[in-house]
Amino acid sequence: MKAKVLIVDDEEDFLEALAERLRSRGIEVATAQDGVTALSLVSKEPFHAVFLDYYMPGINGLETLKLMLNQNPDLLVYILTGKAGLKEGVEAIKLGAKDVIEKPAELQEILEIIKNAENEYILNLEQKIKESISDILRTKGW
Amino acid sequence: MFKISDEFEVVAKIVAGVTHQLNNVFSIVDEISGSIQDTINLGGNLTAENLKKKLDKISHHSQRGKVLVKSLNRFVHLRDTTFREIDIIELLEDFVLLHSHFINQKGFRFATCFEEEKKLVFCSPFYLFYACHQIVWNFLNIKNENSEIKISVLGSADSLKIVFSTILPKESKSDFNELIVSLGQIVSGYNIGVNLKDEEPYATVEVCFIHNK
Repeated sequence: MKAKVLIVDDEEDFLEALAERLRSRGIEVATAQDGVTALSLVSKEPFHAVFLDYYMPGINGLETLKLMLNQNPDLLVYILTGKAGLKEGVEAIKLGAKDVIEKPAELQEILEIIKNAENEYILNLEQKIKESISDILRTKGW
Repeated sequence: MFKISDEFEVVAKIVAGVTHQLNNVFSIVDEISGSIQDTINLGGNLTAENLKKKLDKISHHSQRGKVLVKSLNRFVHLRDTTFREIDIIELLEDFVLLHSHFINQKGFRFATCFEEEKKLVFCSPFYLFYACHQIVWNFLNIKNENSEIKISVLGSADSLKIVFSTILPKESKSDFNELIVSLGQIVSGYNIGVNLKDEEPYATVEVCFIHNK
C-alpha cells in the first residue's frame, strides 16, 4: 500500500514543490491551501498523516486541527510551521497534534515521519479490527 | 521586578513576524531547489521550460526575502538617532510589510494609498514606528467585523499627519480611547502627537508631528 499524506499550507509554491518531491518518492499526496478544503478532504478519504501549517488565513491551523480531530480522532496530524514558538507548540500538542516541525524542515525528517505514521496507522487499524472481532465474539457468546 | 519594556516587545514581535516570513521563503526556495536536484538525481525529465519556471519561482521568493531583510534592517536602525528628519512614506511602507504577517493571521488587510513623493518630518523614527504599531496592534486585538485598516498620509509640509482608520465596536471605544491617551503621553516627548476621532462606526487615529520642521 502506498503512503498517503495531506499537506495544508497557504504558500502555493511550497505546497507544489514539497508534493512533487514526495510523489517522486512514491508517496501519494493531496494538497490544500486552506482549512476548509483540508477538512473536506479528510472527511472524504483516509490519510496516513496530515502536515498542517499553523498560520493560515481564514480558519487557522489550530482551529483546523481541532475540527479534523473531532471528525477523526485517530488522524495523525503534524504541525509544520515557520513559527515554532513554545506557546504555539504546547497548544497544538494539547489539542492532539502528534508533533510540531519547524520550517524549513529536512526532507529526510518528513520522510521518516511519514514512514512512522504509516506504521502507526496500520497498528491502529489492526488494533481496531482485533477489538471488533472480540466484540463480535463476545456478543455471540463464543 | 524585571519587566520587559513595551519597546522591547515591539522589536521582539517584529523580529518574530519577519523570522516566520523568512522561514517560509527559505522553505519554498529549499523545496524548489530540492525538486530540481531530485529530477537530476532520480533521473526524471527536466525540460528547459520546467526548469525556467522553477528558477523564476526561486528568483521571485529570493526577491521577497531580500525586500523583507532590507525593511528589517531599516527597522533595527530606527534607534540609531533619537531625532532626525525621516520620510514617513518610506517608514510606512516598511511598517506595512513588517506587519503583513500579523495582519494576514488576524484576517485583516491594509488599505493604503501613499504618494510617491517624500513626506519629510522631524521626530524620533523609532517612536513614530512604535506609535503606528501600538495603534494597529490594538485595532487587531479588538474583535471587529470589518477587516480593513486604512492608512493614509494627509496634509503638507508642516501639517502632515498619518491617519489610521477602522471600524470598531461601540463597546470597545472607551478602552481604545484610554490606550490612545496613554500612547500620546509616551510619544509626546518625541515630537509625535496622537488623537482619536470617533466617527461612528469608525475609529480614526491621527498621528501628527508637534514641532515639524
